[in-house]
Amino acid sequence: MKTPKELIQSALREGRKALFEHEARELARSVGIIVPRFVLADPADQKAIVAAGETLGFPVVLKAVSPDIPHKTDAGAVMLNITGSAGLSASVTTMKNMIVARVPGAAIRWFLIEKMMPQGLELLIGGLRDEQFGPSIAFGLGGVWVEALKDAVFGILPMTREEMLDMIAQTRAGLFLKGFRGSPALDQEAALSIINALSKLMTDHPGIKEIDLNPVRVYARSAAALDMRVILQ
Amino acid sequence: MLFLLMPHDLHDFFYPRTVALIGATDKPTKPGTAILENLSHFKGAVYPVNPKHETLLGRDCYPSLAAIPDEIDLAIIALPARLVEQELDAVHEKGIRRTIIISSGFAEAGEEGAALQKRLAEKTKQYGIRVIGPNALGVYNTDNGLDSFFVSRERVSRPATGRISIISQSGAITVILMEALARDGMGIAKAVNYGNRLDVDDADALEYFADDPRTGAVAMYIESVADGRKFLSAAKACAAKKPLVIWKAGKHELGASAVASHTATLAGKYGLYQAAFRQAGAVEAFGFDHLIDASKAVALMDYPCTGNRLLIVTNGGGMAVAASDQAQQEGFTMPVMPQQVQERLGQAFPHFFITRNPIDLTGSGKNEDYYTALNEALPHYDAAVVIVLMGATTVTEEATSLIARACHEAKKPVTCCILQGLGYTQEAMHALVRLGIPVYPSPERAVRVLAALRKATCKG
Repeated sequence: MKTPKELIQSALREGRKALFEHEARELARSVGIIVPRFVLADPADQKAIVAAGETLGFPVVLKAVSPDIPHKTDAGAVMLNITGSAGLSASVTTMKNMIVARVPGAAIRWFLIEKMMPQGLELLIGGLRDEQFGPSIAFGLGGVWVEALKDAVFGILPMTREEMLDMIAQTRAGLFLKGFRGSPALDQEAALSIINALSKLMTDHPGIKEIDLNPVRVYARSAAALDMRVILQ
Repeated sequence: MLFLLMPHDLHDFFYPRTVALIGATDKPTKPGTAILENLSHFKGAVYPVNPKHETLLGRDCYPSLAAIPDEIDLAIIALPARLVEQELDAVHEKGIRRTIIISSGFAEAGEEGAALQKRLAEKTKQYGIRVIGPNALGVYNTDNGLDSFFVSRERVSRPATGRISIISQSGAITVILMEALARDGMGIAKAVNYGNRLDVDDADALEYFADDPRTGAVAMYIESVADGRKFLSAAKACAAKKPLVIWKAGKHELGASAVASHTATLAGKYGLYQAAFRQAGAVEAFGFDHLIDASKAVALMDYPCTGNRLLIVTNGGGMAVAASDQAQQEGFTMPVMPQQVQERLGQAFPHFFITRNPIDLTGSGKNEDYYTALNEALPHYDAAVVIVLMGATTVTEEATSLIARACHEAKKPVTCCILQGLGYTQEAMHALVRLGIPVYPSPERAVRVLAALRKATCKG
């Protein structure tokens, strides 16, 4: 396991402005953020890819890891709910073709196969470094429609626990966390831990420009970050 | 220990013993004329400086700072931009440590002006001179009559002495705000417009007013801040001591470059300012009227709004509907009056009064009915809007003291709505203000103010 500092430095040395997804996950894990189990595989090694699916246990999610694809959904670089080996094989081929069509010239460095997580409330939890206000956190409803939902509010670091709770209370996400119309309350403490973890990363590592965790799935007892982006400076 | 006893740097801007006005004149359209006239209200000594005059407005006028036979605490410079730099040398030689630069034509005017401003900043830093401005109105202090604003009192009346202090990035807003407060019978303590922020900035002003014993509440207008983290820290410290109401204009910054993350896409500057206001514990105002309304409320009211249960009392049903609509929009709930309270009110009132919430005293409602209603009902709610239609013959100005009494007994925040009228209603409005109840000419404004207060206290 590389430390955050090592991950950031090696990426910067290679002239990269962002961490690869598996590196971002390592970074997240190192500060205690739960990430679905995953396997990284050579895109040419069909057997290894299928084996990964079997090891992790279906259903799985297939993602293409590429420095040329910033938004995976748009590029067709994410496929959800793959239920068996045959499906996984077929998905690999479909994905390769879709990427060639939508992002021609994009180099697929790895395929990432990960355990598919159950449905849950989807949040965006992010970190940014503002020229005026410095390291700050973003929080709100997330998922694919995050930019349409526009639920995000912000918190300027450092924040006390009370300030984090205030921030959450400003959002619709906060309403859902408390429990809404028959849905039970969700693990707000887990969401707070993630906010704290991102706060630590933003504060300790000036090399991180932005962190995007979207979606973070929150359950009754835990929360996991399913997709993330770490942008460096 | 001596360090702790030194007054804030801004103190000498507000409490100089002596002031020199460089660029004093008598030409009617020049700022130096209006400033000199306004300085006639200042309790300290005023020395006009202008080599072209021997006297101005009955005072001896001096050809230069050096010629003044006195120590000068504050220099106000109202000269064309190109002449300011050399004047600063004279300021320094005279041993003056505080300067207000009224002149425009600096960073706000383009590249050349920005370069000029930079040179001024370097010079004043080197000399150890604190500067308000350039492109600023400067300061106003009701405590000693100091008024460096170049707006004549004929055109813009000055408010009486009161507890609200104004911090404004815009000169125009400073002046209009002062006049609007004056018109509504609110007094002010001090005002500062710091212009281009060459030196003194928003955080400095907040720090000063936080500790100023004359300031009971701060009303602030900004478009941007000099240093976001410094601003947050100063705003937090100020709001911890006294109510701080902030209106930030310029919410929709035109976008940035292509950004890779959702977080950065969603950020935009305004979201971070909102975070700063929330974390500072400031009341956020949305617009000009709202800033005035909220400032009045925090200056007058002693009771925070700690929840979202709103009571409406009226003697005209239609107005209550309008208030209810606004209440909904602002996130208030309007719980139905508890049964026992309705029963007690039913015994006190004629049967045709409505007591569910809103409480409608109808056109037959009397002064005492307002007290009865509020006395019984207010303890069950977090805030109330009280609407008084003075056209009803059964209601007189006496109602105001009864409403105020009920509010102070229940220790809950109450705003009044008295529809704008002539003479008679004006008297009632001023009476309420004297009794510590903020009053507004529309039900929506009365509700919006309570919402602003609630958000500052409850943060939601």
